This record gives sequence, structure tokens and C-alpha cells, in this order.
Amino acid sequence: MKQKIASTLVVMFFLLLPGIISGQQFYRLKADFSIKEKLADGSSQLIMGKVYYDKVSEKIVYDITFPEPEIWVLKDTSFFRMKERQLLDRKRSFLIPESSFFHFTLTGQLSDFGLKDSPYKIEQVEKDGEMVISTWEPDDTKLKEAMGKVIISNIDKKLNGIVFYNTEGKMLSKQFYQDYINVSGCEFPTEIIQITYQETGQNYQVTTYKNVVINQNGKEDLYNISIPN
Amino acid sequence: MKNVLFLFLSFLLVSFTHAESPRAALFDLNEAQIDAQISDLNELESYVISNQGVTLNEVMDFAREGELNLSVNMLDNFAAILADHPVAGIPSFLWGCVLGPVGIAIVHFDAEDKEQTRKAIWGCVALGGVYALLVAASYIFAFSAYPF
Repeated sequence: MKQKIASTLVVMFFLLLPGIISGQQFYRLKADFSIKEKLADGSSQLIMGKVYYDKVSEKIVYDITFPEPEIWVLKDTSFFRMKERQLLDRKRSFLIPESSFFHFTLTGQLSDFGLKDSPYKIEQVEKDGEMVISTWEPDDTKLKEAMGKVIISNIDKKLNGIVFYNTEGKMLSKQFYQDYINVSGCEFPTEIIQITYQETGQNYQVTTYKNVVINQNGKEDLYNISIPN
Repeated sequence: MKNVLFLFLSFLLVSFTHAESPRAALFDLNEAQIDAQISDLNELESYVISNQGVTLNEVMDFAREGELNLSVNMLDNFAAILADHPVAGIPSFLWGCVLGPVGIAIVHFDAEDKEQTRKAIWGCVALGGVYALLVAASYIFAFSAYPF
């Protein structure tokens, strides 16, 4: 009888294992960040601080310490700049938190940069050494008028690089995701290099993350920061 | 002869199979080039990390006083990116001062920056002030020249 119960439990464990593994929910993250940028015109920029993202509040909060202490918030299609909890500026933003690198990292969609659940469809897949390269095209006539193809490379099922094109097939930018770390089961790239191609030259941006914390308790005032009117 | 041809073809085949595909070449990253581009920023980052809470203005002051081994030129270029970005390169104050409410509207909708709009408003206020002063001065002149 005991043997039967034990074997049933073992069978149940293996049946439930995929659910247990996939049921691991990552809902927020915090990290120290630094963004170094060198533009084609010779100017440069360094921004440092901490970044907070919460899937539920859908806000990306940058608590900036350098060049000046400020708080930047991205919510929906808006960008808010605050200092000492006073609103300095509000602008339109093209970066939507639900389509951000942070969201894709938490939801396990980073390997295809969320394209699997988007109006893009996969056109071609090829393997080159350890790299799997997939080409994605917009699957919608209207989208095709505005967006170009995207080429993604994966190494060991992790996003390695992504190349964006415009509708005329001209390369707009490249991003490289490197130095992954595993934090509480969540794979997080700690270095992102972006090269943007412009007529005047190339812009380089290197973003590094340190002290990554997943599912942190507390700090609600930052994860779900209230934006003054 | 056949052996030589066979060897040549085998060599060609091996070369082709080891050649990187054009798509794979897209993901070649020249890290040395990137490092060269941001080397001065790496120095600045190290300084900021070891001096928690320091701001850009403080760093610039230290660099100008020679207390820091950082390029002042780099910091000047750095500051340029943080500087104002007025509409068409014309200071927002002038937009408000010359065009009044129309100038404020242009700055407000084009720059989408509250700070720039505020400067345009001050320009408009300054224009109003100058206009009021001129009117007052003309009245004073008129009354003093032709006393009733």
C-alpha cells in the first residue's frame, strides 16, 4: 500500500513538474544601472542610478543620481521627469513599459523580444555555429508600411542580438545582450550594447546593470510611484 | 590531375562550410571599437561610483580646477547634451518676447518642455513690461510737454 502511494506521488510530481517550473512568477525587478552614450556629433552622456519595474503598476521608474538627482517615470506613452516629487516635465514616449526589455525579461519573452506575441511572423530560421538566427517580418499590411524586418540571434536559447530595419530595408540599429546572470531563476543580461545608424554617423550606447533583485518586497513608493499633476 | 582537382574541390567545400553566413556576420561585435568610444565615460563612471552623490556640475568644477584627471572638453561636450534644446535654436525667452502669446504657443507645442514654455512666458511678460513702460513714458512725456 505504502509503495502504491509513494509511486502515485512520484508520478504526480513528474506530471506537475512542468506546471511548477512554469508557474514561477517574476513580477518586479530592481537594478543599479549606468547608461554610457557617445553620439556621432562627439557629445556624450552618462546616466547612473537605480531602475525599478513592476509588471502590475506597468511603470518603469529611474531613480537617477547622476548627472543630477531626478526621477524619470515611463507610464503608457508618457515620460515624466520629477525632482523632489515635483513634476518638471511631461513628454510623449515611444517606449511603452509593456514592450520593454524589463517586461520581456520578467515574462520570459526576451529570447524573441516579444515578437512571438506581436503582429510579426517568423519568415526564416538558420543555424550558424552556436547561433540560431531568425528573421521576422510584419504580418500586417498597415504595419508593413511603418515597420521593417527584425533579425534576432539566440545563443543557448538566450537573446544574443537584435537588428532593426526600416521599411526600405535600411539598418536602423543593432542591440547586443551579453553577460547573462541568473537571479532567483530569472535570466538577466547585465550588458546591453546598442549601435544606432544615422546619416551623420553611428551612436553608441552601453547599458550595464548590477545588483539585480527580482520580486523585491517593499519600496512600493518607487515601484508604484504616484505622479503629481 | 584528378587528385589535384579533388583536393582543390574538397578545400573549396571546407572553406564554404566554415564561412560565416551574411546574417551571422550582422552579429559580429567589435568590442574594442565600443570600448574606445566610451573609454572617457568609463573613467567618469569610476569617479562617480567612488564619490557617491556627486553631480555633474560638481565634477565639472573639480575638473576645471585641475583636481580631476578628466578631460574638460569631454565634460563640455557632455554638458551640451543636457543643455536647452530651444525651438529652431532660438532661445525660448526671445520667442515669447518677440512674438508674445504666439511665440509661447510655438514653444509649447514644438519643444514639449515645460521649462522652455516657462522661459517663453517670461519673455512675453518682459515684452508686456517694456510695452507698459513705453506707454507710461509716453504719457509722462505728453503731460510734461503739454501741461493742462
